[in-house]
Amino acid sequence: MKELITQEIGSFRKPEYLARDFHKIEGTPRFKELAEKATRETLEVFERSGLDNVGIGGEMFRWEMYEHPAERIKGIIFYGMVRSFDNRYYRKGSAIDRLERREPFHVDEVNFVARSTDRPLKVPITGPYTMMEWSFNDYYESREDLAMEFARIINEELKDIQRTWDKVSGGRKLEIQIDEPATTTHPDEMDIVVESINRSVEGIDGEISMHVCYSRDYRLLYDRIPDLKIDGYNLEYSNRDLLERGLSDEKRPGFNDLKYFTEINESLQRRKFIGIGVTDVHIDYVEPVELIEDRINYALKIIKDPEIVRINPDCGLRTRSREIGEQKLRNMVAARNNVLKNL
Amino acid sequence: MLKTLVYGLYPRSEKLRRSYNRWERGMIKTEDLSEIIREEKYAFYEMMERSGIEIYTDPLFNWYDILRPIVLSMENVKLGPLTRYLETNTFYRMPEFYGIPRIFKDLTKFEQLEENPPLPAYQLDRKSLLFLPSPYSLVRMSRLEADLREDVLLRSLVDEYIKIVKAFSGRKLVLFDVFDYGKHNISYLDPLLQSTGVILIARGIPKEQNLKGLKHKFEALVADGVDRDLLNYSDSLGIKAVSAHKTKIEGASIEKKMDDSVDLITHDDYMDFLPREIADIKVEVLGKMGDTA
Repeated sequence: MKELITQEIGSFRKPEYLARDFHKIEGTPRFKELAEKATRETLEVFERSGLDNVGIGGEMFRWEMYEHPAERIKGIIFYGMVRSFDNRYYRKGSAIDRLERREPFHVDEVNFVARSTDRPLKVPITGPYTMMEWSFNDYYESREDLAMEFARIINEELKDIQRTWDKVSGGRKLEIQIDEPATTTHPDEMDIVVESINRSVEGIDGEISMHVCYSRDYRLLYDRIPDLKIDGYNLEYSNRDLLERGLSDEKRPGFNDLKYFTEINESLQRRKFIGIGVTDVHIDYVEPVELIEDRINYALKIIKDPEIVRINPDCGLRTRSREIGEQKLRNMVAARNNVLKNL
Repeated sequence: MLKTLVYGLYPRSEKLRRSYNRWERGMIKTEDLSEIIREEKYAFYEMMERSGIEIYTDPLFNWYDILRPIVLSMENVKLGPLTRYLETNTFYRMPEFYGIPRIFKDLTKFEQLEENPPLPAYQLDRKSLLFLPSPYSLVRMSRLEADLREDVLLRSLVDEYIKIVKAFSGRKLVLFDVFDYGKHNISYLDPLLQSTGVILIARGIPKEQNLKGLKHKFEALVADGVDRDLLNYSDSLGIKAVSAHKTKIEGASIEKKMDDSVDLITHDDYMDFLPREIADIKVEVLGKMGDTA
């Protein structure tokens, strides 16, 4: 297996020509034209940066990770915006009836991206627990019921993606990333997380990974790795780390909990891979190559086997400009290459 | 007939959100934003009157979260990281205490704040009340960065709250609790109860051990259930009849599940978790509930 595969997590800043009119033209031939153009340009950025896996081309077909699928589900309606923090708001849907998928979420996007590059792809899809957590529940009896309904719908979507993939893959394996930022927000609901994710991926023949970011306690997730039908985890570490160089525990606080991950992972019959976030997507500061090398080398001191380590940003880079996003990816790939030379 | 109460941060209108966006980008002046906030607040007060809501607080359209302007107006407190509010997807900036807090800003005057829209903290009409997070909740939602005794900190916050009440001419106060008290005793609130009428919004149902030692009564105590023993500490009791975490609209007729000691109905959390359109409908329903009960 290839060592230290580099990958994107999902989103990348949309070009102005697409972002400006996204909602006005969504669903029209003009939207298709611009989303495809933006995807091609973003794939070029990823390929130029040297990424091994180019994700889904920066999610140019999707405005946002919750709204995109929720708008395509019958039984969810949007009443308006709800505050996230300060004056930042998001559209929070209400489940008011039995949920049914109205139309596929990502099939067109997968079809187009797969035909536009011959590099490995990874298809991100918002997970059932996060969809539940970010919705008002005005219909189902419990949060678990709602999460399991989202799981049923996501499973339908993944089966459609698999059918499409079989036609366009060109021999590449299907890689799916379940995005679950809400995973550890309610420690007493980890059973719901596990059951709904496992239901979502039932019968899917491919490599399934999970992305979680900005958790207050990743150990809640690590503890459930043996129960989850997931092949690997792409997680955020650099946001919790220092910007100083060094390989000691004190200099790399963001990556300390890899020890706990490894403890669990080494006890499994079939080990999971771990994608480590080596660049913080919440700051414009472009971490120097040497700092990223230190982060990778520190992780390798703990995990030891570079075949199960992948290298990625903490999260999607949509919050940074395209220029800064590209610089961060370039430094990430350069650092990985330097580390590989010295292995 | 039951009295009805609407309290705390109320969702912003589309117009107000857009105005904030423009202000944050430097496209409109702070004074202009302040005028828009003032207009929106008075429109809110008119809506309360129209809906038959008898008791309401300032809607706090210029607060970024339920702690922020108070924290920014105190010495020895700073804003820390964004932190999740309970089990919601809404975040507040965690206060960090570096010493005993002291109000050093005039909350009644127009003044720019960093990291929050401008003061005044409240713009009141003839009837509207003040709103504050309880000292207990404020401390639990904060981080103590100095070697402070919690009881000393709580008492000092009560002293500062009394100053705030005085600054607004002794206006009545809705005191809001985010957490169940557990074994915590809140008798340190007594000087505040002496200074003005206080309606307490509690989590769970407070017990004797939580209230023992209070010499003055709350005007009303709203809990998650009715316990007549609470009348030892409050002139009246209230219940939470409307959800701020579901968009489903409640029926306008309220079950007579409470006994005669209940004379106030309200919502279970501040309304800012709802889209504005839904919050407005829920206010109307609450008004009708009060009429029909």
